Amino acid sequence: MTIHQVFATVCSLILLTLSGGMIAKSAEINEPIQPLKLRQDLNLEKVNLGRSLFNDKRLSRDNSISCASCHDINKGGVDQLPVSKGVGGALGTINTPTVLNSSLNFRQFWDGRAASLEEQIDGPIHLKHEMDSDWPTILTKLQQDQAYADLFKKLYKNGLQSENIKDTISEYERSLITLSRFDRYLLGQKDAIKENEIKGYELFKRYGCVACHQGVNIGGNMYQLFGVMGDYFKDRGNITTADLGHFNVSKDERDRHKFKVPSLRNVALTAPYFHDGSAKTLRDAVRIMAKYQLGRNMPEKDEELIIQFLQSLSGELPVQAKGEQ
Amino acid sequence: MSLRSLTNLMLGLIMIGILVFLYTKVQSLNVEDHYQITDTLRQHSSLNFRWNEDVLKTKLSLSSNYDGVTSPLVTLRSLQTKLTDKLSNLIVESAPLKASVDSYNKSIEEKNKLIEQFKGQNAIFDNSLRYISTAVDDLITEVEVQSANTTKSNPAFVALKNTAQTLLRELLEYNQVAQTDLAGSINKRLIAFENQKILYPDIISNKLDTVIRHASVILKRKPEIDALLATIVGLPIASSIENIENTYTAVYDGRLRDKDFYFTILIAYASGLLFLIALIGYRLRNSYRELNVVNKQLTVANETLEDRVVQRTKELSNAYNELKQSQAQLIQSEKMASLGQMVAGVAHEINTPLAYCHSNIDLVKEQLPEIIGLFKEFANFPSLLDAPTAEQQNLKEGIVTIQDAILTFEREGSFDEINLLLEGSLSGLDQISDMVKSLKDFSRLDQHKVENFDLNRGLDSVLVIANNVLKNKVEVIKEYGQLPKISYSPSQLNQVFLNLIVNASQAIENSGIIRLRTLADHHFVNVIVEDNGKGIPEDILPRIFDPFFTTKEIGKGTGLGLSIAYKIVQQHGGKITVHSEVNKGTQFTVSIPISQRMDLQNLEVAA
Repeated sequence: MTIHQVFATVCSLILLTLSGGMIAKSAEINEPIQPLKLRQDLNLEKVNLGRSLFNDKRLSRDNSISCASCHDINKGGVDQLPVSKGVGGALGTINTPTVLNSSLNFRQFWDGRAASLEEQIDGPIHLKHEMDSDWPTILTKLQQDQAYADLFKKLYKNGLQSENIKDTISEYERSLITLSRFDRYLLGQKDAIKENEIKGYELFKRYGCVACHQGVNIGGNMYQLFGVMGDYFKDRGNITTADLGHFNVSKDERDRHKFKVPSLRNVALTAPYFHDGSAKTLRDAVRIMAKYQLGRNMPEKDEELIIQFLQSLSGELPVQAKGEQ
Repeated sequence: MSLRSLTNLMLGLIMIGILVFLYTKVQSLNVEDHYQITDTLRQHSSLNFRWNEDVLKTKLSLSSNYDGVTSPLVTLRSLQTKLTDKLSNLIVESAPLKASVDSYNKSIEEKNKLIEQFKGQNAIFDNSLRYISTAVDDLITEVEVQSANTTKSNPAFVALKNTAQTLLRELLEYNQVAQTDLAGSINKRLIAFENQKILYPDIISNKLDTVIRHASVILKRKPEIDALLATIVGLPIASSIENIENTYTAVYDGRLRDKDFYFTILIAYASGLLFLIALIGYRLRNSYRELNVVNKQLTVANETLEDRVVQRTKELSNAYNELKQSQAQLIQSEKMASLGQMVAGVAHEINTPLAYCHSNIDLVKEQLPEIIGLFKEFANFPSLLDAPTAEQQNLKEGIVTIQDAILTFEREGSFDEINLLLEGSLSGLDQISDMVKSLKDFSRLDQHKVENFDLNRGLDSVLVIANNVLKNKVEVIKEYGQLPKISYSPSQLNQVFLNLIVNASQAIENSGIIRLRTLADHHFVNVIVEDNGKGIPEDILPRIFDPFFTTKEIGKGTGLGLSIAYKIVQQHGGKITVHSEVNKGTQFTVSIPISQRMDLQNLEVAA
């Protein structure tokens, strides 16, 4: 049986079996971008404890930075710098991705090396140019805080442990979901966004941005080559290890320069853009994307409309995520 | 713990251990786990199938986004964890099972990688495919616009337009079935376009460039995506799962057989144990029965024993009472015996004053006729006085006679003598009275206590009784101290002292001294009877208080004196000690407590 025959058979089978299913699912919004759903199953005590830890500078070696130092939830979940500053002012090697809606990403980090939020936390904790610490040190510091000890004792059988710290921080991060005007639009509130923004969305789809920036997180569900229609890195020059993307993880030549497609939610707040922080404005980013990813010339007015659409993706954190702040 | 009981304990533990081992072996097969494993495997199957569906849906553009094709992995990961968890024990045992699970997990990793590649490729491909019509349309429109601007028709423009339309058709066809000859044709056209690009105005050239780029994407990625899909679909996922199922079933069946085997063993072992228990029970029952018989006998024996004990107790108490009575009698008879010894002396003591009383009174009696004659003379006086005259002489004579008589009496000192004799007699009678009183004191049976008993006086009365034994042989030196009055029965204590004094005098062969000392300290009144006699030899000293021990000739002593003295002092809560040196003397010390701690009951019984 040839590849084609297999494919054809399977396709016809699928079509037959799925046609019924598709009709049943017609109630779903048939858009490449899906509206956010707030999670109702979060443990609020863990969320609150996780928020404290997220903002706790004792997680870094010299007690100078916390998770929130680089992931400011009031600044789109980032520090709005090309690369972040770690302990002792050490400079990072990559642009900080937003923590907002990060739970919706299929993997974490630009290169997708962490499969989960819990796994992700180990990264910044240990990196020399980030928090430069380790779990034994952190546990020693936090154990001196009776309030933490009590809270962990209450929530976990084994009390204050690194995996429990990760669990609470992850739970907090799962609460960082930002419902936007665009979500309301998708859910049927037609006047939630302006006419230009709707036009922008149409262009966004038509230009093929949705090829990658789709799904509930408008990205964050696949790896994609940066420079599909042109060699971005050759043009930019000065290639770093970080530029190799997912290749650093898989060592598969096919993954060279492939990155996790970032979510475009709150994108208007998270400049500068791309893993190298090279695009200072949203317009720069859109332009580079059109050129290197889509291979399209985009008139300025289309750029403008798409930018307006992108601005409608900025959302509000739910009360439970903000806490007392 | 004895070796035997230790061995028994070990044996018991081993037997229980075997039972527990067999039980766990039988229990080790968890049916719940089995169902969960088979169910998980089924879920793996269906999820993998669904994942394939999602991929194909995406490929056929039935899905508008990649969430659907991304999310199954999360579920699959948790299913993998669950399966590994559930199989973890079995995997250790079964290499084929481990191999099949590893192979499946590897396939999933491979599948995931392929799907990631597919997603990336397809996004680009799909975009270009969607866009290619627009791009070609844009190109044609632009060519038409440019053609319209020029007066004469440009054959190159017409050719470009036609070729572009053909290219689009070929691309769409190619998208349906990626045939190699078609690919070659498209490729040729694209190379031609690339070469012709510079011939056209920039505006057309740019559009053409866009078409070339997107067409290239379609051309290049279509077979890649098809190959990816074929690889994904062709991954031995289903067979892997089937393989797991088969190896698992084999292991499970093996376990099932093991279980049956162990179950049989367990049944046999348990039956054996039951038989053993029954045997033990039977033996226990027999032992119990024997015990019961013995027990009954014991009960009977016990009952008779009680009767016998009661009887014996009664006998014993009778004997005891008799003994006490006989002891009292013994004391009394010993007392009487010592008294008997004294009797001769006492009799003599009584006899002496009695004798001189007798002679005195005799003497007084001899004087009595003269006194009576005198009285008779006096009696004649009245008649003489009555005679008128003649009788003067008689009166005179009478008076002379009386005067003579009185004078004679006076001259002979008869009146003084009589007085003296009578006084002497009275004194003698007093002596006798004392003696009798002492005897009475000494010998009386009653044990009534005498309040304010003066021990010194008691000793004196003993000395009176013993006087005959002592006199002419022993000098008694009395060193009486100031003693508090005590309240005791004098009769018994006197018996002790008499015994000691008589013994002391007997220890003195020719002549000697008995020193009687009394002194009191805080708690005791002490009486020390000390002689300078021959002393008691050391070898018999410890035995002197033994009953029936005597050094005297047979018939001379009862051998009970000191033992009874000892008993009496003991009954009074006191003690009697002896210190003796041969040829130097013996010293007995009797200490009687001042406060009354006398065993009254004993005394009463003794009485």
